[in-house]
Amino acid sequence: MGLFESYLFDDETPNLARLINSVNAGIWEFDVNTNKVKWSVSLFTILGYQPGEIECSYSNFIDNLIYYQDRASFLATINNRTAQSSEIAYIRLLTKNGYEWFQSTVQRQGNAKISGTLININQFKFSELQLTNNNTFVAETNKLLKVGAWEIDVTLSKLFLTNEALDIFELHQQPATIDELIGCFEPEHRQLLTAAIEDCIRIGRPYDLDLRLKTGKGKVIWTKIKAVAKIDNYGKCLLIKGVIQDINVTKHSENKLKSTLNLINHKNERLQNFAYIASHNLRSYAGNLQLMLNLHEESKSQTEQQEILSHVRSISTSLNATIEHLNEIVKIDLVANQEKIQIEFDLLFKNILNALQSNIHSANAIVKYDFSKCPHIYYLPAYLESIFHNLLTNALKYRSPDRQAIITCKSIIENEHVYLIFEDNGMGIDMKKNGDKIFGMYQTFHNNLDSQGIGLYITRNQIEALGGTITVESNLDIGTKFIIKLL
Amino acid sequence: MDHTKQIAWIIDDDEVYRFGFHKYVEIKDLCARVVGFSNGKDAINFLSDTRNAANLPDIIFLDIDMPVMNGWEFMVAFEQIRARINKKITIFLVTSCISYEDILHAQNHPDITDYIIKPINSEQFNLAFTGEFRKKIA
Repeated sequence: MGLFESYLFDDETPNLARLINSVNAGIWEFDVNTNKVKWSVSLFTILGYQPGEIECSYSNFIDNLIYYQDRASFLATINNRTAQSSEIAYIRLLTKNGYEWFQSTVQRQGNAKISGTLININQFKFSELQLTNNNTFVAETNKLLKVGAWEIDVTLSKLFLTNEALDIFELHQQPATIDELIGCFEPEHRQLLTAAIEDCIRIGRPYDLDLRLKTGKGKVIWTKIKAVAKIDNYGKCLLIKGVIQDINVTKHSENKLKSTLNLINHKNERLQNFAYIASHNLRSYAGNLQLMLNLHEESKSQTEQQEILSHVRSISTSLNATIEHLNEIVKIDLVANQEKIQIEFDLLFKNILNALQSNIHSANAIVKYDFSKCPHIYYLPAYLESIFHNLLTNALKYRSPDRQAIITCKSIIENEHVYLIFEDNGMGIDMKKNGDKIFGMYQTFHNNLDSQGIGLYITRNQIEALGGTITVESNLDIGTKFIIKLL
Repeated sequence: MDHTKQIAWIIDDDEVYRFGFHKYVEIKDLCARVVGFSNGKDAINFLSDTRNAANLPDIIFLDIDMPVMNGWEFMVAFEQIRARINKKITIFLVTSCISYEDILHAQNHPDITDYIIKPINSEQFNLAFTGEFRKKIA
């Protein structure tokens, strides 16, 4: 029974021994003076052995069982003579199944004896490691995706942002209030977000918005804000849980794609117009020319032949004009790439008024203008001149015969865009019938002989070539209003 | 009926074409009289006026693309007053560029005899006036 002498709790205190041996913890005792070691049976068990299967000694434990990297931290807990309470170390021991994690507790018993416990914490340690891994993984993923989370406690009206969310806002500390958070967003988006949050609180409606915000460092970026409401059993919103993502790069490429698509659409439309002119207008000239030549052959009288020739001449003139128009449309794309300069609306408009002075005078029209809201613009002078010129001549041409023509032109700024508002009290256009055709090529709606149907077509193309838009509102016999977004 | 006694209308905003049409018909002696209108509205106004009952056309050459009232709008207006017109009127749609939709529309229209693509050649002219021009599909 010599071997068993080295077992703890064997025969002296049998009940306690049975109890202790049945738990998943090993207990040892070390005599400093004699270097003698005693292990509990359970210590063998938790290492996966039968009692006595391996050597129960100080040197076996230190040299063979303990993982070499954990040796120093374990010995430190043994050698610490000043410590009153138990010393804890996390060590790996070689079990029958390989290395596993244990929690080691060491306690001094007077001067001569040291005792300790070993508890297998392998499962726990693994989960812990996994959790840390997962957390790092989530944090790294969030960083890569530029995603942060945030929360609004509705009852306390309190706000919390994760570190990743704060990073997106480039803030060092939590915003104190919800209003302060909303204040980070660009003015035109604040209303949208406020309404979305209110709706979420009121009826629990989730939201998904693309909004621009100004970061703590003054950078303006696009972000995606998504949120859902956590509701109680009565459907009342307790909490809004949301994420915020920095989508600046995506949004910019999306916008770029959109504007490219727009550009291509417009170019495509111009090409279609070309096809239309080629098939319709040029064809009708060719047909007329052929008809005239046939007539000329058949005709017997000289005066008749002369008359026919005069028509051939007029066909030639119109053909030239059409080709000139085509040329102008081609030029729109070329000129659009020219350099823009700072233009004073006032100066340029007066110039056009001067050029059209006789037309305005003979029409007895009043032209009013006000460019005080936005006095200048960075634009192509040739285009702006052409736009003003076309709109003015149109307004004069299609003035009402029943009243004095009043034409007004003003510039305004809205949402960082420059608009021209051009209004007249003329004949107007039937928008239901012709609204979609007004900016098309060779579309004329009035019986005027000098209507060519080219002016507004060119105006629209010039505006669109520089990224703007033109829309029209009109009522028959009341007037027409053009709203032009220049930039 | 002798086609040389017919009255023909040309409704087209192209002044040169109206002249050419007029001259050609005159030289070829295809009908008694040619009357020109520059848009559908003027023609409808004339047709609606009962005082013009004696001067109604036998045959109309109708352009599609016109300002004020185009060819199709003319047809809609024509249907509304047709019951009051005591004369058979043959209508040809004449255009320099006809879209597929226009072709279908013309073929299915009970009041349109046929469509002709400009420029009209002499054979088509003759057929149109002698009444031998008939719907190809029908």
